[in-house]
Amino acid sequence: MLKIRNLTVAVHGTQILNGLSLEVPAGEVHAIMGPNGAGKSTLSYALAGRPNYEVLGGTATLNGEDILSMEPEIRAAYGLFLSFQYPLEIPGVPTLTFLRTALNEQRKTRGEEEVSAPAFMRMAREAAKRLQISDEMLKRPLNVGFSGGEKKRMEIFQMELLAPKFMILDETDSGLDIDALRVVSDGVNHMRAPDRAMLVITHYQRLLDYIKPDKVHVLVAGRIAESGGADLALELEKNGYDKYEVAA
Amino acid sequence: MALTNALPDIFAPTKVGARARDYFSQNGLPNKRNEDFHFTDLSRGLSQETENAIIFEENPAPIAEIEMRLFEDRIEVIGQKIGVCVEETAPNLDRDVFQKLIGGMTRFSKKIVIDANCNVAVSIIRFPNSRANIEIAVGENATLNLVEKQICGGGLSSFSCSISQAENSQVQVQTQLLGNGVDLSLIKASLESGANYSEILMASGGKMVRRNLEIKLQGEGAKAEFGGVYLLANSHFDFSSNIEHLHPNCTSHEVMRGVVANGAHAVFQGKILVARDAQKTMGNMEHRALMLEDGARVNAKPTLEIYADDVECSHANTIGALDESALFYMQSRGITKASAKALLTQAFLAQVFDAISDEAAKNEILGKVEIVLRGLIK
Repeated sequence: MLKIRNLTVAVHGTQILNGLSLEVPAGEVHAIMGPNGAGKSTLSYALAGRPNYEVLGGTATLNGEDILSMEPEIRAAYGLFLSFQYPLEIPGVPTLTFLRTALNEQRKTRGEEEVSAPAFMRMAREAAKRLQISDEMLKRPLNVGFSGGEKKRMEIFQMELLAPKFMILDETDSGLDIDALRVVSDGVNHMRAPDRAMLVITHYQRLLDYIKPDKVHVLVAGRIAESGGADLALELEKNGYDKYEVAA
Repeated sequence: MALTNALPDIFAPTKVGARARDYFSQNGLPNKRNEDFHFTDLSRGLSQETENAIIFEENPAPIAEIEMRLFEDRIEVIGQKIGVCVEETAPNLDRDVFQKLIGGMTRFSKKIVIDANCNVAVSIIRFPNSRANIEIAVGENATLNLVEKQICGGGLSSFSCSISQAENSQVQVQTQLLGNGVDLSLIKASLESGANYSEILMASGGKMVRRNLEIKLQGEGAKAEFGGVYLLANSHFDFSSNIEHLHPNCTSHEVMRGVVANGAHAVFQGKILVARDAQKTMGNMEHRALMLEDGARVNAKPTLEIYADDVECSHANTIGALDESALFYMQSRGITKASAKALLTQAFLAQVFDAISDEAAKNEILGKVEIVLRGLIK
């Protein structure tokens, strides 16, 4: 599914990723853990195509297609979704208008038919119920005046409606209390499917109690320092990242 | 300095026109040295060769009970209503150079008198090259729904509309300035006690477009509201407003938002004047501009001139660009950059009309905004 080889990325001239390689097969959930400044968010932004994240070398393919050469919106239409660590507020654009535009533009890019307003409303209602999102929230401009937890739930809500193939969750657990964490995790687990895969970026093992990873990777100084099973997260929680940083 | 033979041939063959020609031959046309025209050099705009206007003679069905069609060579009045009478008049515009200029250019003039308690819809359709003056007297408790539409087509046009509102009269104005030539226009309204004036405006700018809004709140509890948007690309639009609070307990609320693309020049000059006696005035004014590209220009000059001591007045002014992070966020969800820009820009402009209760008028303007935006955003 997602194959990253030797990815080197600079942000405003500073090299952050130093030849990172990673493979996430379809149907799997991989977690990336690592200390602050290791390049976790840089990886997610580079994959999503954020301006000023300059790819200096390496490749990233999704189902064999080179995604790094695509515009961000084409990557999205191709099935990539990034759940932002800090979702942005979009003043004046009602949540449902935003999402219907996004869904239909993606479908247009893929050469599919647009989803009608009533069909979209049905999809939205169903997903909203599962994520405990009120009608009132859906009418408000996207994320404007939402709490941190509401914004994260809204990210997962968007993810459900857009139904991507590959999902990157960038510190989705930050700012969530235990109840919100459960709602968000349920939403994420609902998306697991044999033809989908997921990269879960987190500081804390806690999230991985709810979203069980198939593999855990340790990202230090811009590359993968170690990969292992779910147990690796527990070990990191206990011993921290010191041994990798010394080695790096 | 300026000589008669240096003046462009813009004055009408009327008495007022002759007086204006004399005045401007002695004083010159308003230019950058005049503070009110610092950002819009009328002398230059009016001296340029004007391209030939595209003249429309279409005959669409009138959109209101009374329709005034302003042409280069005549005013046509269509429709009638009991309680409303249309008379001949001459422009009475002498307060400042802009008024003198517009008065002098005016070829045709009409006056509409609306009786007390009468309720009427009037549309004014301005065709290219028309230079007309309309006076409207709105009686006590009367209601006027006024639409002013300028048809695009270039050329040189002028328009003035003076509205005098008797006690408790209501005036709602919807303005569409879509001409793309040189255009000078002026709306004056004077409000007696309990009168209400509200206007929504949309402008696309032209070769040189200047619009003045002059409101006098001169009776207890009079209220004026204005919400406007401009969308400019390779065009110029200058909006200057002067709201005078002359009596206690009056309210004014003015919001203007605009977007400028490459080669555009927008000017906003807003003034609130509060006279010494006008205690308990509430006056606020807001202007926000969005620059879509480099190579666009916005000048803004908000002014508060307050002589009373118990008032609430405010002004806000911002000029900025679209938030790049928000654009990327939207793109990451599959929305193209152009659509993302259009959505954000439209949302930015639509907020001007949040408070407008007239849904039909609001939707018409928003529909036009969407069409113009599509051409503006690449």
